[in-house]
Amino acid sequence: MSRTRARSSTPAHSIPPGTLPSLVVGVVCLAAYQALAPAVPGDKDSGEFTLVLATCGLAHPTGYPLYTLAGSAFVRALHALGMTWAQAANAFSALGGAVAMAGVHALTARLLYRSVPSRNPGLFALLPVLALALHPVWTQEATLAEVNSWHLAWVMVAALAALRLGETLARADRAGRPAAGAAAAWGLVVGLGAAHHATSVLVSLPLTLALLLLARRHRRIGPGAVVAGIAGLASGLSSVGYVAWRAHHPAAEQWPELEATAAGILAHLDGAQFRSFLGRFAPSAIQQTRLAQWVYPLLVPALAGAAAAWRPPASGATAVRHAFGAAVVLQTGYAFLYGVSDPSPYFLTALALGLALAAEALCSWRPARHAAVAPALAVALAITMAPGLRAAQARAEAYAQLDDLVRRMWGAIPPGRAFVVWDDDMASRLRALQQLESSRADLVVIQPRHLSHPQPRKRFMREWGFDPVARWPDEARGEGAGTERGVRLAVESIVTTINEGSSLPLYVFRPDVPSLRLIQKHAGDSAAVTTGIPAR
Amino acid sequence: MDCSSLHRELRPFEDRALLRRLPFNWKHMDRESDGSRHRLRDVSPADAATP
Repeated sequence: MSRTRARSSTPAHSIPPGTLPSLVVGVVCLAAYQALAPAVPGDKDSGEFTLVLATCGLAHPTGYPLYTLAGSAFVRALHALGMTWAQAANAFSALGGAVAMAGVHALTARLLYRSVPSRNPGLFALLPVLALALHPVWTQEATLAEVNSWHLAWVMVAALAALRLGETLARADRAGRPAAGAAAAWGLVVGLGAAHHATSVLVSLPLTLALLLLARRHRRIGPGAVVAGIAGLASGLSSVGYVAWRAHHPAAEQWPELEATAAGILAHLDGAQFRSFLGRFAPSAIQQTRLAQWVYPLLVPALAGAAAAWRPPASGATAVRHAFGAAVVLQTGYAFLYGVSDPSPYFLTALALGLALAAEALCSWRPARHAAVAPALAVALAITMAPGLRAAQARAEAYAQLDDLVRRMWGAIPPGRAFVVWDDDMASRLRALQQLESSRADLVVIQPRHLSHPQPRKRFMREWGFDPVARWPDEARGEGAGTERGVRLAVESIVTTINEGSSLPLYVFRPDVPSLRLIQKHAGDSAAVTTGIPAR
Repeated sequence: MDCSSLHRELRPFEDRALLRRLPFNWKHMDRESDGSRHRLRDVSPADAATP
């Protein structure tokens, strides 16, 4: 056995890493994220998730049933203690963020434990935390109602579990004994991850392959282990039944496209509506700036860490570490091939795992063992990432201002039943005002583009007696479908059709202008009428 | 046709001076080029007139 192999399979430090330092990291991060979290919903899906958690509803595909069930209980408890719904929903993400950062520290410390001696293993373990804890892309997820802080928390729990199970499977004194307990535990971890976020497969797949390799090498696979693994997986996945149940028992806040059929439920669970994003990279201008400033500079050492994870020896003891490297590459590739306008959160898993691997590789590198290296890197990272604190504060202030503006605009809508059209995901804020604050239940909030889909369209026709997409513009068909102009004209045609099909007043709600417009009823030229919608 | 006659702007919620003092900073938001954000990007009905 080579000297390197001997080092890699024997702990270099006599005392295994304890949980207390990681717990301290988690508590500090929880306090920080709670302090940085605004008392209002944020942008993007935050308003929807806040409302879903408060009402135990159902979010957009893939439904996030585990997040919804656990988060709803958490949010209701905090609300009962006096928090607003938005504060409670944001606090749930803060808790997920704290668990994730504690996990990043614990994982790095355990990787270092398997590495060569260093004078500052504790400080090396802190480096990935210092790089990520105040990272603006991360604090957006850890201070607002979103699913990604809990996803990273799961990634870290899965990584730690894989390390532990890998060691258990490789124990010489248990060779030949089927590892049913380990299989059940790993199946449960994989199932929980899949129930929370579809991209968990990018982590669970390589880790499962590594564990299977170890189990096979040490003759620890048997029918009992396979059955136990499947049972654990099914148990972890059980919360997806909530999506099926909600399809037949709709909540007040529910993704409107969900169809109460087996095909509709499956389409919701597998995110079929978002497959069109696959295969391209299309960040918005603001995201391009954010990626260049905050993500790519850390992605370089993260990918270097992934590459270093595959350094020899390719033994069973390092199979799990190799799988971490593979997960970093898979997650990075996915982020570059998912064409949403805001891809930055999809890099977080690669950054966290990759930076943990990079810290371990750096600690193993002889020139980096100088006593000054780890403190110098820690100080440099702290200084570099310090602006992230101000960015998170400024973001929270901005969201509070936006919430104030939205509330004043909402309050300015004249009394009486009316349609309020806001062609933006933030329309969920208006539904939250209705459902959580009993404000203006007489108003009908419309996100027009949703009405072009079968289920919302059918419901609208049942309730109002006319088809909101009956006057679909020719420019939005064929080659025009999906183009910016085609979509704009289609949305305008829906607004016009509703306005003319109903006797109720129709207001176009545009906080970004800001503008609140009453569209006049008119029997004339519909194209002219639609110009009443202000340009963005 | 005079389009301005087809809609009426309501601004009782705000005056422009106050808006200037309280500018909402959209740089904190993940927005499309047109300032919007939509989880559901496509508008679909090929069968628009025949549901």
